[in-house]
Amino acid sequence: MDLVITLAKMLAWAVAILGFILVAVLYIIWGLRRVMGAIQSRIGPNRVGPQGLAQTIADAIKLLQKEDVIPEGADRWLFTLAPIIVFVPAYVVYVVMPFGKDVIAKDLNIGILFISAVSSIAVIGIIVAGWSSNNKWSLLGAFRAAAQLVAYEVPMLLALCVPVLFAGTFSMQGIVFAQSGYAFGFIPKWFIFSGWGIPALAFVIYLSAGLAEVNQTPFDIMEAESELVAGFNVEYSGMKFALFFLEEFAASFTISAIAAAVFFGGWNAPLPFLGAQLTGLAGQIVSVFWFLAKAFGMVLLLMWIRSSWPRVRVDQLMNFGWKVMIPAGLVVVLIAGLVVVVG
Amino acid sequence: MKIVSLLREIIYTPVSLCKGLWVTFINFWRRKVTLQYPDERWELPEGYRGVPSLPRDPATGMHRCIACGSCARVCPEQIIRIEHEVGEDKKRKVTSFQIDISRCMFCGLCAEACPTKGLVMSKSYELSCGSREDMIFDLDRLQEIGGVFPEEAKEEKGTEPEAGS
Repeated sequence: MDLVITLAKMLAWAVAILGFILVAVLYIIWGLRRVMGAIQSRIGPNRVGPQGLAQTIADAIKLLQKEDVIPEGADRWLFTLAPIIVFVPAYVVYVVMPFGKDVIAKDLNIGILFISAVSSIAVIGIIVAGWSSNNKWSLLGAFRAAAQLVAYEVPMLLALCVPVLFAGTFSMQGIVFAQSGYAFGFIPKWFIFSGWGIPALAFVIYLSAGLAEVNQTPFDIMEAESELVAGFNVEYSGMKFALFFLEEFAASFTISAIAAAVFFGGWNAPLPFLGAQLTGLAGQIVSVFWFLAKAFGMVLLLMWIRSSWPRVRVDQLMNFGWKVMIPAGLVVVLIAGLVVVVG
Repeated sequence: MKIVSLLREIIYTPVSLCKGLWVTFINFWRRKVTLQYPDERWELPEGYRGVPSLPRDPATGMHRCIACGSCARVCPEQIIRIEHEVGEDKKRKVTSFQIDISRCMFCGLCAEACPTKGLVMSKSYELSCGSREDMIFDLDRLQEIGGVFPEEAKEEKGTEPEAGS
């Protein structure tokens, strides 16, 4: 009987998370198009539904109807498998996402390790996609992606070590709990505001590495349109392309949500009177609200960066990754350790 | 010296990145330049050259074409075809006036050449249609597009074409 309940619970979480990802991605895409439009003095999609809210749904339906082309000379099995390999890690990561007070699929005690371990599987999917397409541009894009993702995984992990050091735990909920409470009664004890600014530095490193991880504009060389047509997914169309697209935006929400959780206090309210004392269901709803607000705020920051900064060159990217980001990450971890030990 | 330039770079890089963000932030709040075309329309500037047209004279209710053929001669694309007959009062009368708008480049030379100022560049620019044949505008269509001459244009009637034209 216990097994049945556990299985039912797992299934419910899986469906809920998948639904959440789909809805979130639909509106992140819509938001991105509106925000980028506004920044470029355009309006953006505003025709389908009120304020264009149904635009992405229409686009998704269009993508699903399209012919699913498998190019001649492509490795059919790998070609079909690649989008799934890419999408599954982006999906599984949400298992340890602390959506709110007690609202988490499974609070693993190695939460952050789990996230970084699982999300690095996506690189394999990208290489498989690039190779099986039998196209030189997609292969080049996949090479670049692999080099970039491997290079930026390291500083990202180092940056994530800092909140782990401060909280003393790998568990996502544990890290969020460590950020509850308010200094002087009103300044939230989020890591970004504490620890003599060391977590803030770590956040900058995390943000840069995160941008590289999700291939956002300053570091989007793996799909640099002007050089590589579209990168590793040139040959993909229809459903499979939609899966890659979904993964990209799901990953960018993941990056934002993790940043919100480990640096910006997760589901803790920003001010004590904004729902910190609430308990029970009301407290949970308010905590979910704050978590989503922070996560979507981070998504907005990513969009802003995406439409502002130019793309770096491949060699600049690798230089920056290995010669600046990793040493800086190491130094920040070292200082964070000192700060934790001393005070 | 190298250290100094490196330090300057280290300080300048974040500053310039923030400047870039500021530029886009300001732009975010700016007025949007998009014109939502079928709902909103462009305000046409003075002297806009749309389709050549034959407006009606409010006095006679007719166009002012005297079938002289100046426009057909001056047209660089040779797309104006005029047929006429000589009436009993020995005046030429237009029987057919066709402009193949599909090849028109809206240069306005025909309107400039017209001795009666009867051929006018209208402000109509929405010309999409289903076939090439529909792009050949006849007398009725050109009159329909032209509408009626405004009052002030009436006084110009019969003035000499400008020198050189």
